[in-house]
Amino acid sequence: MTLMKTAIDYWFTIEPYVFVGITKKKILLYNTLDGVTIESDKDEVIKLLLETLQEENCGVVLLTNERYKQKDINSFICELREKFMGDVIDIALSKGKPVQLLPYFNFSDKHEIYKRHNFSLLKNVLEKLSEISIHVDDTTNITKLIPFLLSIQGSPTFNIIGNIGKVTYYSELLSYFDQHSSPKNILCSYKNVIALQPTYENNFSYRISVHFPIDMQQWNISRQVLLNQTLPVEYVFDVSSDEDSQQVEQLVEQYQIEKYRLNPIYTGDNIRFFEENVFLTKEDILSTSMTIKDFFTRQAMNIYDFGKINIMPNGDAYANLNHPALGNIFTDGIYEIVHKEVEAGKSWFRIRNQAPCNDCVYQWLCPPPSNYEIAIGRPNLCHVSK
Amino acid sequence: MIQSIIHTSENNNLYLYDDQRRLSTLVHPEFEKVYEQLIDVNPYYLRKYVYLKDHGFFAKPKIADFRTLEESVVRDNIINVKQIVFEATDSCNLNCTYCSLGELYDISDKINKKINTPYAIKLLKYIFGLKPKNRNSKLFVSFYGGEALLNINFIKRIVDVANQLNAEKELELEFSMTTNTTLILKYISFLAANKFRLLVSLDGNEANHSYRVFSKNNKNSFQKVIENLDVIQRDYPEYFSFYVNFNAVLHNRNSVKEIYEFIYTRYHKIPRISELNMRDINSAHKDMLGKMFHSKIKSEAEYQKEESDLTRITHDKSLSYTDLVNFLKNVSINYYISNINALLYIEEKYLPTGTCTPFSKKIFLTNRNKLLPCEKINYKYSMGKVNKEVEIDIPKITRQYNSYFEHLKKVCQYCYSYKFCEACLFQIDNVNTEEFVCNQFKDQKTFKNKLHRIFSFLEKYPNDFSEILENVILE
Repeated sequence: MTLMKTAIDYWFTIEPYVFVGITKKKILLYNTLDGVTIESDKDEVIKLLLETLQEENCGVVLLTNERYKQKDINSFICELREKFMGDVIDIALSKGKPVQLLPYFNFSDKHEIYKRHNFSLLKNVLEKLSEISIHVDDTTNITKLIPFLLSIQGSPTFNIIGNIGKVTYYSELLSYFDQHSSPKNILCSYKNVIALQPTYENNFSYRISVHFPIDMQQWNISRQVLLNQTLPVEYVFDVSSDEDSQQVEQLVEQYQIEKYRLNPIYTGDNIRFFEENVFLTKEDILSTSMTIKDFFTRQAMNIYDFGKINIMPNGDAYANLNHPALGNIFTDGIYEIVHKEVEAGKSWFRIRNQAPCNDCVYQWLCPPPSNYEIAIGRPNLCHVSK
Repeated sequence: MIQSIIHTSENNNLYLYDDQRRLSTLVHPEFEKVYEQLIDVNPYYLRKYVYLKDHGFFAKPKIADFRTLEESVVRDNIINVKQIVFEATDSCNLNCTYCSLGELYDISDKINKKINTPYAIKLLKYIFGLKPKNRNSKLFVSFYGGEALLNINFIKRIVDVANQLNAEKELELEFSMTTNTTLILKYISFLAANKFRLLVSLDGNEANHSYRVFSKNNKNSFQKVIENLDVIQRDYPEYFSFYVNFNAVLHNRNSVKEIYEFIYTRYHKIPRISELNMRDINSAHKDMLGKMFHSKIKSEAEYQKEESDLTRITHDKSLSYTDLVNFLKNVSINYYISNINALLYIEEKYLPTGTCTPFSKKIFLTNRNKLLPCEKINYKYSMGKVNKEVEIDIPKITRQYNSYFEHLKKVCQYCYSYKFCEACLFQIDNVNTEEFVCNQFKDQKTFKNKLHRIFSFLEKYPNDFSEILENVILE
């Protein structure tokens, strides 16, 4: 008589729509279909996940019956199955080891190759240009600026930033933009608002910057100018304290402002304000709905800066004003400027891959590093990793 | 109508493929029972099915959505073109039975004419003039025939001019040529000095090579080819090692196994293997070509039956490997690694068929001054010409492609393989008519079979997954 083998061995796998964050001491599984998570710091569970992610296993691990019954593993698998984030399959049900095509999330380690691959061609580089911010003042040279703008293909958004009224022959610049179908945002202080309508109508909008304390006379003048027009208006309130935030609330209510946002300003001595209002908690991080594409994006590029170029009044071009200039529009073409950012720049591809974030399971759930990290001088603005 | 499907592998594993999410996921056999709406199913998998359905899987079948070609793409392609190919001459000292310029095909009449050198220089200057200075940008200048070496003066002149033009642009300039090598010894010092990449036509051993005969006496060119290659290997060992590669045509006198065995054993090179062209056939010779044709899939399957050192060495040249690469690159969730644009847009749209957009890979100037996007395309699809000027009518080319796409999408929109199609529209018979038949069309059943092959191959070689993502897709 032969004994039937009753102990079942399994193929263990996780679903490809699940993101796995893993460190030496902890794992996080994030289900991109519904935002549900599993966290564990059990050694056996971490070991199992590490094995699953090993290249030679291609997303599937043989789980012996003995290992399956191990307490931590068993309860982890129960939770995993309950949340539809993975499964076990009796190996007797097939003739050989299956595979699971998991998302390949190690490419942030190969960022240089990745950049080269995606940006090797001119068209690939220029296709990515989505927003051009032109900073203006009384030194802006319209006759040099417009030929450069004419060399830009496609329809990126244009931001005209500063006191445009101070620019010599500014009407020429506005006339140029009026013929352009791209969206145009006039970004200026409430103290410098100029009327665009009825002369300039084509796809313009205002983004009005407000810094406290407010000059009420200027505020009222600007309100009147804006109310006399039909162009869309968004207010951007600089806030550096709770008092500023309260003032914003009062203004919004008093003037029935429909569209506005707060722009926290780091002054060097208001870190507490930032810790309370800007720094992320674990709950903040996990409350963000993430798709698999979002995980790829966060490992590939900085969505705050990507595709954006800033042009200063002297022609200097930057991807981010906190980083070195990429060139000057009076001597370099747009291709050279963008190419420099792709090849040697520090902005478009500034991702969250530095310590302490690179040893945190929430690393790729967090938004990419912003200008606040630079201003405050910390690589992470969260309450998770100190 | 394209919908989520479940397919098998040779190991009897089951996978769910969801086109809209680019997801393939391993599923339990009980899950398949739910999918098949069988009774007496495991309630857990019923819940899982409902869960996935609630999150968009098994959604209402939809037809594929396509975009159109834009003029700016054609313009950018010309600026960025990676290769300029010149048909140096259509004359040849060989008379290969299956030559596409020969009597078996209706592609072109051989007129034994050399290319017009001033016009070729004009094209060269035109392309260089469009390119920005860039040390990291590669440009191939290539020569094609007939036997290109029959017009060596032209080749030398073009090399000179290209080098002069490149002094300003600083591109990574390389030269390449397809040759039968029977005339090569006289010119090898020039070719080696200019680091020409050679693609040598060799169909295997002497019997394998017997369709490649000299025009003057109809004798097999094999001995001469081998003799010359041996000299190059002996006298220019480093050049031979880095710059000489092989192309073999598969037919009824050879096989994948014989080709690999001969060329690898003798030269330590793995050749490209191409099937006989079965399009544009002269109707009088259809039967003859039918007899000569040897399917690469079948021949490769025979070859891979016995696992050997050579099958391991040639592993990444197999059709199954290429299919896996194309699948991972275009259809799997890891598509985003090499397509950053797709991360920025919610909607992803494709062009019908797998046709390269015009001039995205190369620009080919024939000896009749016609411009084509590739030397494999029938001359009747010419997309410009060179005479006093380089004449490329971008709006017209764009309209022409879009009219083909509009016509083809009636079929493509129902094809499961629309994201990784292998069909070139110029190689579809009767493409201009309503009766055209696409041999690459994949309905649900044929697509399932394709996925079955891909997943069976990956189950056998699981290391290929990361190897392909790291070293092939992110090359």
